[in-house]
Amino acid sequence: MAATDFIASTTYPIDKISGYQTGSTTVAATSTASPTAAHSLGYKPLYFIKWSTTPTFETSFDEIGVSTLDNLQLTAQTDETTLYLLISNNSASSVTLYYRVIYFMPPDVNLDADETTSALDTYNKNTNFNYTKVFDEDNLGSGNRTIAHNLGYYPQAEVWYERDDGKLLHLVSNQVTASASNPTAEMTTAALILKNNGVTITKWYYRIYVDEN
Amino acid sequence: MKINEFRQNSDYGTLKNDTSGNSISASLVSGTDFNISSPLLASATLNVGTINAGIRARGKSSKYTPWANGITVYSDFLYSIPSLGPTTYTGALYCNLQRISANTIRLTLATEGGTGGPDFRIQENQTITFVFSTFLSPFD
Repeated sequence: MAATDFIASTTYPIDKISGYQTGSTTVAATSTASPTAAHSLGYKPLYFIKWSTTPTFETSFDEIGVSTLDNLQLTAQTDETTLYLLISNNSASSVTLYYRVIYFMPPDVNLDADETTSALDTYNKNTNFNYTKVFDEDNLGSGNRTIAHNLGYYPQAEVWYERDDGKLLHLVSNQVTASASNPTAEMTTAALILKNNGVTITKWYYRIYVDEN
Repeated sequence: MKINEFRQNSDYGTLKNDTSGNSISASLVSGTDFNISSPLLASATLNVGTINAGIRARGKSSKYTPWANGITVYSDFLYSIPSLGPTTYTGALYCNLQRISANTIRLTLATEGGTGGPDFRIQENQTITFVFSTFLSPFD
């Protein structure tokens, strides 16, 4: 077992996948598409999404906030029932885009897991890998927020936010300039600083992970 | 054990780490000339080994103090347009960390782009650094 392999620690919880989804959609040349897919979880899940132009996902991509170089872009939102995708195809050809989504249960939801038929969302401990440990997670109301962690280093974190239209989005893009106009999540060695920067946000979700370096 | 500490629960899957603590950087170098019709200003690639590993990243500009969460960060950069004299301008700098092949991720520094614009010259050094971890795709 390598030093970075699985270390069982009862001090921290780990990410729990409460659901998942796969699908595909075809987008015409130089067009956008807004497909939706029902997830039926009954709450607004926190999510990671990956997409590919091949069903085998030999090359897969993450949700990107801004890209000025690529012909294909995908962004996502969720609510209690549905996954909403916005796909932009600026190429001269029709493209079929495949996506895979994993869902996490937000910290303000406590329901039984509904899906138990696949190994994907059934806990499978493998000591060949380590597991990211959640130092702190919570949901917070609107406004700018500062969450003290006092770890003494810049920890990894993930942030999602709910807008006033009820949609929940993964914060994948950030401005490091002083004149941000989108929601931002800055990290210092002592705190995670969430700023709405003029965007109406009804709720923040965050997870701060213990650094394994 | 506290209520929020580790509990083993076979009802849920989790994400298995593949790598952690990787970093990748790309720089703008003062004095470099570009044309606005070519939005790519700088890039760097890194082999991350495992096919389809997901990315969790945070990025930082050498110009600013805080780290920003996410795989896309924005910064700004100063440039001048020679034909318009010595005035310097502030432009949007897009910094994306993304997978470009089964094993490779790429950090790109890009402008908004355009067509047929004038040449411009970078007026200051700036380095964008991402620190990231990867996790195995639970689908594979």
